[in-house]
Amino acid sequence: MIGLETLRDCVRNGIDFVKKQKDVIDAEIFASWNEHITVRLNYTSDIPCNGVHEPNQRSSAALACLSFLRQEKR
Amino acid sequence: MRYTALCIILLLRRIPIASRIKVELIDTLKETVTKVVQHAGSLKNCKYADIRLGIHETKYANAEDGKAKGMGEDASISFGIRVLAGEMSAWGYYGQSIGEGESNPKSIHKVLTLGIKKAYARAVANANKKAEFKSLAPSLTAVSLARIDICNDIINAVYDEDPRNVSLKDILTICTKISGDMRSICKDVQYAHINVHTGINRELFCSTEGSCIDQSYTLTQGMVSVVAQKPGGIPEVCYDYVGDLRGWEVLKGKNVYKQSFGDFALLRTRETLELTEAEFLPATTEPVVVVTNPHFNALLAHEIVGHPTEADRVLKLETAYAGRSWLFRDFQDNELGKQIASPLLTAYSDPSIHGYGHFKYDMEGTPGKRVNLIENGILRGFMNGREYAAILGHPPNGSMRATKPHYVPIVRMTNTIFANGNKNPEEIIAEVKEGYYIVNHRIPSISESRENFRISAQKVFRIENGKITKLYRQGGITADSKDFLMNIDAVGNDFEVFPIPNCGKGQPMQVMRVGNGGPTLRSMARLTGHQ
Repeated sequence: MIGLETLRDCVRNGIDFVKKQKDVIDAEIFASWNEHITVRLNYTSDIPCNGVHEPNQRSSAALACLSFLRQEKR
Repeated sequence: MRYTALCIILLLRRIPIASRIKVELIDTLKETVTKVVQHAGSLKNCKYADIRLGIHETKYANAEDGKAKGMGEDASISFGIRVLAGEMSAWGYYGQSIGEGESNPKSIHKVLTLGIKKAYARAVANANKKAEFKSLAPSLTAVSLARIDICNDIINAVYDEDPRNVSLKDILTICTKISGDMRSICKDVQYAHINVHTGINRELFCSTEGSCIDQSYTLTQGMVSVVAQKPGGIPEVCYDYVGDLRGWEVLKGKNVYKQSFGDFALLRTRETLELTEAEFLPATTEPVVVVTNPHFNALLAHEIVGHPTEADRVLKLETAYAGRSWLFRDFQDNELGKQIASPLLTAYSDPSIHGYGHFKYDMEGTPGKRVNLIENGILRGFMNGREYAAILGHPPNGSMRATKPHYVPIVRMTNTIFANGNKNPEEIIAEVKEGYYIVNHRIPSISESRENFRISAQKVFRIENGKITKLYRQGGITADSKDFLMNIDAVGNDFEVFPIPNCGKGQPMQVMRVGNGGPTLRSMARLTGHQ
């Protein structure tokens, strides 16, 4: 699990980095961590089954940047 | 001011992701994966465990009406773990994407070990609950797996032109040029969209039973989407794909259509324009003679043969989401060994032949092999995985796949097709006094247990006295699945396998590439269209 403090540090570092880039007018940094368990109850009286059926358990983390850049003069 | 839509950039280093995560990384991780899976096997009451670790490198671009819309390159690494544990064995799963910073042997060892721990805990918890409810629910059963051969193998990707060597500029140029050429054909072309991607996948599979399989494949695909409309008319829409498990050469003509992607896109555009001038197909209340072409039969095989012969549907595991199968009500009441189609019809699923559903081993490490689903009209078997094979008492046939390693493998079609016949398709049409020629699939609508279907066609032609005459638009056919299969009285010798890139199944949804096809068929169905 990635804690909230780590995610906060990540977006702070990210925005500091983006702010220093040439031609960036505005930007948003987004960070997240997710854990996801899918559970299905599946009971078939006439066919062997597991009852609780977990089709998946996943963890994921993501980092994204939305940036507005200055137009080049032509 | 220029706006860049969701420009995802690497924050810490100015190095493209794709230049750092490469499929070759698997070579340095094999030993680690093997060690971690062996450790899983030593856990108390662990009956089985496997790890799949995969890397996917891809480049893509798209354009509309000759103008660039986007392009990019990406690389990802992820893993999935399955553990079978507990007194009354049950599954536990865990999957995760991994960042570049973690993709070294030491960090991988750490995240895999954590993953094993989580999957094992889920398995034991599920097994304990299953045991607790057993007295109330007698069908609850410990999971057992059908035996398979233990394999150690390396499968290399096949390509003439390596996707990794194709420049993004070339990919974008093909998109802008083709979509521009499509738009330029005629002012009635209202919208032309091209999407292209090319890449390589490599996946490592290791199990506690000792299997270690390293498989790679390339995939190149082009999608065309076109809208045509006459002034004041009703729009006509077409989308279709060219694709294969090969390199960039796919778009230069090494594909099922044996033509370049540009020629294919222009052909689909001209066909769509032609349809804007056609009459709407009148629906019928009674079945009529229909001749369906191989492209249409790709979706027909997919929907009325492929899905109902997936063992998880058969065993009602997909009831709440995707549906069941009319072929299997229970062990006493089912269609196995019974006539469900014309004796002229054979259908099978075969990952060993070329097509989008090709592989050597499935994602349980089972060697993929041809499964005869319907033999001369008799239902013979289902596509399965090891757990479902054990329940059904059938040999495992290697049909389990996951879209990405962090998803759980489920039963998927491979190359699921109607077998070739021996009749010339022109002869099949020439024998029809009054009927319709159904050309190229569009959109399916299928009943819950697949016992009937409605599939729309790109084009429908009238057949009069053995000759193709009038073209109609926005039509299709509907029939009871068994009636349609039983009424087949001619099977062509023009067998083809088409790429179907977007078969959706599972929770969470997994979009899978499969191969579907067959030869020209003749049967009976009602026409759908305008009343």
